[in-house]
Amino acid sequence: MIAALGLVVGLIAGLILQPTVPLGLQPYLPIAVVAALDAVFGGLRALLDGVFDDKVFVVSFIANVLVAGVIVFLGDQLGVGSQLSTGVVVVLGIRIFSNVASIRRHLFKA
Amino acid sequence: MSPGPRAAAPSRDEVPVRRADPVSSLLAQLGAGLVDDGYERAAQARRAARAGGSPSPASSDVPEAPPPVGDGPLGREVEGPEVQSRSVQGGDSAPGGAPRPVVRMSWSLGLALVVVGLLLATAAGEVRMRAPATAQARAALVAEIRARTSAADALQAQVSGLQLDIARARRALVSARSGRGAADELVRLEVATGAVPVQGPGVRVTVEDASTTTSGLPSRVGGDPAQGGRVLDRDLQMVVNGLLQSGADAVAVNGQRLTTLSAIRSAGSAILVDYRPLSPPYRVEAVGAGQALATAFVDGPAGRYLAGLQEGYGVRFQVVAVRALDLPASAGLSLYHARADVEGTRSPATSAPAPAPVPSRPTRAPGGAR
Repeated sequence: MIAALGLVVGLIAGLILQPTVPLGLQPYLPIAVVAALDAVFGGLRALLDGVFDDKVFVVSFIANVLVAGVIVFLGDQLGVGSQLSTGVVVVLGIRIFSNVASIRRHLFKA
Repeated sequence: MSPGPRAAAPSRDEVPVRRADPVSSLLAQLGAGLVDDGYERAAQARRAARAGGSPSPASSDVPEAPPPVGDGPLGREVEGPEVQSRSVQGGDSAPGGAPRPVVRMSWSLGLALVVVGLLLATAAGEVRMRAPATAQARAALVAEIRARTSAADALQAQVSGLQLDIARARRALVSARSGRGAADELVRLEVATGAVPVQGPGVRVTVEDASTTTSGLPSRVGGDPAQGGRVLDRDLQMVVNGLLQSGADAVAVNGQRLTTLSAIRSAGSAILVDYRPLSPPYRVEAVGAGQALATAFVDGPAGRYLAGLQEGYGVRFQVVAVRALDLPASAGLSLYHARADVEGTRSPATSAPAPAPVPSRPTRAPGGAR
């Protein structure tokens, strides 16, 4: 309940306030979004698995976003930013897919 | 309950890891243990605490739980089936039949999800904003191009209209008996100021540095003998002034028409006319009375000055009367005019407009020299 409420509040706030991302941080926004989605689906799966823990979720969310951002930043500094961000997206995408598959099994038993 | 449900668990809803196919096993590994380890570990800890130290299956699994650091594919592989078994066990072993005994939520979760929502909305807004921004910039540029083009067209039309007006006014002036003198004056001034090209007989004065083979002559500038017989800017000034004094109507130096505001100066070792450098030999051409002009020039002070230069420093010069000279109009003759001061209190004297092509400024201002 709290989670759904928070998500809705965040979405509405973001749509109303339209926060502008500083130019230097713009390359990291998509990566951060993907990492956040990964954390969300991981949390959802844990919830359905019956092992959800809010502290773990918060920490994993923040850590995911930070690590993804740091990896892309490092790649930018090394000149392989686009490749590393592709790698991050691929890894996180696989995780999201498998988590969603697990959720799907939980919900539809299929 | 020990091995029974645990062994059965992997086959229930997760593809078990098979070692034979490396690709599929890799994918299975990737997909198997992707719930964050933390969930599993925290659930174990809480389960153990709830069990009150009794040897529950969960607590007995703790040593098997994901390795704390460096959990590579192997660690995940171990954990993959465990996630499933845990959930099954949780459902089975929950006291009182509670379906989710270890789920915990709080405000920090809500806060984190607020952040997630913000992130999603921001990303969406960013994507939505970026496309219109480029389109807007393009549209603005196109609109500006159209506006500027039409403005330029309007100005061009205005120029054409004004030129027509000028031609008509001039014709009217010439035809009017009282304006006869004014028209003549206009022609005279146009020639004198370099506003129009001029053809006619004239004089060509060619001035050149002393040849390098000439030696033993004193230096004109500094102590450098190589600089001995150079033509200086003041020599050309002298020649031009001498030609004008001898009755020349129009003068050009190396094809550059001189106006009333022209400056002949030197910059370094180069001579500039209206800030454009000249290269020797210097041809000063004057349209005038032909042979008479040449004679007057040679006999005048300028001619004597040149002769003195030739004698003293080896500067070479030549005066030739030419039957037909063709002097261009000055390249950049701009029109200065005064405008009536609206306040009218500070400078009432300068309120009369001066549309004549003659600039009314007698001084040779650097910016105004043309």
